[in-house]
Amino acid sequence: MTFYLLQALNGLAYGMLLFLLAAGLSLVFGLMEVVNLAHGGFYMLGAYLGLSLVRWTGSFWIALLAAPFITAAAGFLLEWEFLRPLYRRTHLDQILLTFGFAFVLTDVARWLWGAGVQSLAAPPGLDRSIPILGTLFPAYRLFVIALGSALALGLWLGLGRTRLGAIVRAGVANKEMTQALGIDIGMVFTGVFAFGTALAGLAGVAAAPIQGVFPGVDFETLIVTLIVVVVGGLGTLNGSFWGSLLIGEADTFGKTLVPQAALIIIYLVMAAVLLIRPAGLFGGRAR
Amino acid sequence: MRRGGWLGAAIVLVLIPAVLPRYVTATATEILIFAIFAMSLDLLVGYTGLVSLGHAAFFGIAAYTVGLVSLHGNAPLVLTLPAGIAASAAAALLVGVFALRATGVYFLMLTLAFAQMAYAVAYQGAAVTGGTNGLSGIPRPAVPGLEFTGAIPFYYLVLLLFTAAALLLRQITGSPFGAALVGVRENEPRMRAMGFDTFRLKLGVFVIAGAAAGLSGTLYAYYNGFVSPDVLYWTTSGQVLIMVLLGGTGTLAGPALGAAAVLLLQNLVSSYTERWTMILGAAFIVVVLAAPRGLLGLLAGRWARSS
Amino acid sequence: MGALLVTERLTRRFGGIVALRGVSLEIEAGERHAVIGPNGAGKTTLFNVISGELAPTSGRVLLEMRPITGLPPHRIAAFGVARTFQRHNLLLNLTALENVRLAAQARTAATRRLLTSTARLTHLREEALALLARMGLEGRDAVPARALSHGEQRQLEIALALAGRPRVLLLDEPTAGMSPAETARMTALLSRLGRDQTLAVIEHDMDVVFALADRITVLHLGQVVACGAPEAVRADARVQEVYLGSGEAAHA
Repeated sequence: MTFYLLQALNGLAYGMLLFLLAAGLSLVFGLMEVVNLAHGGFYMLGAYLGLSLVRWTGSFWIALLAAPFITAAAGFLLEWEFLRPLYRRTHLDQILLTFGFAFVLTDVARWLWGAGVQSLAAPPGLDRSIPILGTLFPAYRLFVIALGSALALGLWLGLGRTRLGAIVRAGVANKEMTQALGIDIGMVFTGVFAFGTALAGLAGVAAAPIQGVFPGVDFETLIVTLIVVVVGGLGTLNGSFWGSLLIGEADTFGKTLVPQAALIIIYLVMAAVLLIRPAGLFGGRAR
Repeated sequence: MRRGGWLGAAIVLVLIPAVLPRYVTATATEILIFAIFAMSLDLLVGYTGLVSLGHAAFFGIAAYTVGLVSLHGNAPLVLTLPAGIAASAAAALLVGVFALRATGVYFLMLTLAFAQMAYAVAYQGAAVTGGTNGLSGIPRPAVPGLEFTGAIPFYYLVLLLFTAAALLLRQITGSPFGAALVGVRENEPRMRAMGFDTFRLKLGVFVIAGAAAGLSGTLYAYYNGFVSPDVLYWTTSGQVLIMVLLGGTGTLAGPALGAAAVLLLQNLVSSYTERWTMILGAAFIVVVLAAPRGLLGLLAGRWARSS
Repeated sequence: MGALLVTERLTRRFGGIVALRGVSLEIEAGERHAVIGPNGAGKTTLFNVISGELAPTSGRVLLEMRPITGLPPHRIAAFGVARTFQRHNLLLNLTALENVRLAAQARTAATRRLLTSTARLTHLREEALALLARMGLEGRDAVPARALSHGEQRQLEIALALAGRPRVLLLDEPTAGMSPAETARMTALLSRLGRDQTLAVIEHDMDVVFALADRITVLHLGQVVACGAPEAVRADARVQEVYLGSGEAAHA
């Protein structure tokens, strides 16, 4: 029983990290109909930046706060300088452009941070296990669960209850109408894109003490995130949330219960969902 | 004029091993192999409008099939070639049934995901695939009575198969089936309304493209002498896609030229820098921003302006 | 022997809105049948249900007494029900000839031939050229659909539908957005189609309707208000009410 509880908590922590990634990817898609294939690259960039920032400043917390700003700045530049000129072209061109940036980011990381596996220690205070329900569980993972939950709640409230959220939702529902109301939809695109990359960077730093950082982590992460949004339904926050939890748990339990099939469990989940609900669990619209 | 161009190209290709140094023959062999790969992807991207980000799966699956068969001695080409092609075609059928239910971005994501699954299996299924080390010691192919051990005979074998594949693909794109593919690219709902079963059309072309990628993967395994998970990695899918985009989609000849351009650039650059991946990414960005119709499009534009 | 195309009590709801309520009509072989009615009457929904784009909430569609309800559009097209759309829906980057040739090809098994050159299928080409001529597009075969005028695009749309040799051709506002000259040309082209071509036409232009139709069905708020010969429908009190409002308004 304790074993299952521990695995469920592990799966929850992983799921929360996935949610940070999937939410950004999905929001950008809902708004711009562009799947950012460099999303995993921004995640990796966040993780490596976190590593370096901890080395320079000695503080995990500064790194956790600062890295997302840097990835957001990089995301801003990508959107502003490269995606904007393509607004009049097809979404496919924009997606291919982000694919090009995925190549660039993967090589930049290898260049600056080397090809080895690197790890990051959990911050002081969270680097131990605490008793919970009769067993011990790493405190840092509880922190990740709390962080993810807080951001999920924040996003939900922010989108649902604020003026900014209303503008974003209007943009998702009807771009022309939103523009007709005098809103600069291009600014909304840029802002949301940068916000998505900030979330990816944050997930990168937050995941580093659990998973480490290594070349190739970008695409590994991107693929899992894509599976999450395919399972949950692209463009919906709810779908990202439940999709993340489902994939997080499925992957965690799969790896411990059927290690022989560990690699393909999440693909099987995806295949099953696609057969039953082709547009994903929460994807209402036809594609 | 056009006919003269083709004839000239054929003469150059036939004469390469005779007049140029050995390493050029090796590079030309690799270019021809990737040209088959790029043309097979063009069938999807350029003709049918299906942008696959996971085409390396079918290249790699054939390469691994050859690697596995070769573990048990030097199997004749008449066996390995159909085996590699059949394995890739079967995988394409399986992936296609899933991925082609989706359209647009979903198709793109699913092809990427399935290819990455193949990579993960090759990478971690060490007992069968050799893991990171891959499978090595693949001997050059033979058909009973003929061996292709030397670089020059192997080049001619590849040239022969390249020619056969190019002619076959050109025939297919010029057929009523090919015309229907273009119709799907242009307006799939309209094609359905006309009475075409577009799912079957797409599945058909997906399997053909997978089989052709399998041919190139088989030859690549022989060319390299070993297979590693890299052949299945997303960068391989990306590299062949940039060959297609760079050369110009929907032309077959364009992607073949794109393969030559990318590999020549790689050879040139690799003696100065290790940042090939970055250059490839930059090439993607430049092509998408500046030359969406590819090299052939640029040339055609210049031709039209000058005449 | 019943009618060629029959709908039986077709109902289609969209959430709380009832777009069709119990629409029954019969279209005889060789008939030219017009469907008219004010905006929102459910005319296009009716065509969408017949051609399989939409499933009905209840009711049946029969072609030659065989139910085709709920089949996917490509199956219904293969059974011989072709349609055109209000907004033209063409393969814009292909030439007029390529458009029609593909439509003709859809009817044949040629698509399965991977190794035959399209150029050698001369019968498809000749058929396509004949259809273009029949719809007034002779000499325009090499022009990309994108470059045709609005009227020509509508003509091409009908040539595409005819290429399937449909038993019933559903035309959704064939003259929408046309100039008077283009409308007259289209009306002439349609009336010159052989009497063996069964037609159902949604149309707002009454001149076109009375020039073409053998019988007229009037839809209003998803219901059949009247159905019959043009003169009878013109004289029908309920039809006048639908179009002219209540009696008082008509007097005013």
